[in-house]
Amino acid sequence: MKQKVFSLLLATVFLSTGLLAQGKFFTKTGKVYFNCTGGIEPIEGTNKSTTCVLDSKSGAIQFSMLMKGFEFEKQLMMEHFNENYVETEKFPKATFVGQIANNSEINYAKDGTYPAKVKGKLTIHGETRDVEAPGKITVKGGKIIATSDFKVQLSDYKVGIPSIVKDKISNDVKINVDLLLDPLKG
Amino acid sequence: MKRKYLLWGLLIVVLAAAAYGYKEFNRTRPDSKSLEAGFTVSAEGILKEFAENEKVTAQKYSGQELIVAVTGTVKDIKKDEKGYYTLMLGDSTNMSSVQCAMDTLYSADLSSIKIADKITVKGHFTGYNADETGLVGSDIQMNMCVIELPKKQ
Repeated sequence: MKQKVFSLLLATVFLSTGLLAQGKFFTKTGKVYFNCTGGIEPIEGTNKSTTCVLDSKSGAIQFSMLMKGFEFEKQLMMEHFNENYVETEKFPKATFVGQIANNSEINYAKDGTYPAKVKGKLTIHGETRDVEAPGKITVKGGKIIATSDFKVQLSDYKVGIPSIVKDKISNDVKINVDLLLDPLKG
Repeated sequence: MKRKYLLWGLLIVVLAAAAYGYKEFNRTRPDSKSLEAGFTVSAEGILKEFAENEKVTAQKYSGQELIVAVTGTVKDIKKDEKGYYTLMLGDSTNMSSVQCAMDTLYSADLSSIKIADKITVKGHFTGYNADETGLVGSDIQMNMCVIELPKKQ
């Protein structure tokens, strides 16, 4: 009888861990915020529908987001962003494919906050560039909170700024990433 | 005398242009609740359309201010720390969804919505995010969504 109960328990544990997709975590409601204010008027937008998959075993991390999903306080700003700057009809998506360089230093089995170094390829406006960013991985109750702040240059991604608004839009774009990742079942 | 009228006319034109410019500059995104949907579809239907031919379907749903009404089963309700809601509509056996980022002005309308309810959500159509990982499913995304016609199953 004891052996049967033990076997049943073992099978349950095996099955429930097997249902989790090998240490992978994901979100479809990740937040990405950018700010490229050059003058007095804040130029900022937030995307609340970023998809991200993180493989905790290998440290591979992948993002994708629809550029049209950025929300702005003012409609005119959003129209200019979509039509003139990032041309969302032509280049609808931004993606990041990379790796947590120090993944072995992060204990995904133990609650805590760990510094992370992320390296990879960021594609915006049809242009791909290598990016390195510092970040933080917080493991809490089986979920992961991943955050990062970094900068990119608009000129690297061939986002043209008309000379008439050059003093209002900064070429340096501050990007803030905030993700709450759930275990991926599969 | 003529010159006086001309000056007054010019001043009125300048003031009107300034008022228009100010209004245009501060214009906010129109509320989905007051807008007519360009398309009324089912969650499964629109996901199937995109999965079968993304390029052609993207053309059909193009435009900067397209409003789409989607009817489907609530498979997940996400609420973040700031109180922003996202509803996922579609087949719960599939990872793909219609993802509706809800308008915070109407968060109170969400209090009675539960998983497995069949509802219609109307919002600004953002696009189709095809899954590039093969793990999480492809999604339709909409912003500033509102509950259109709650239906009981």
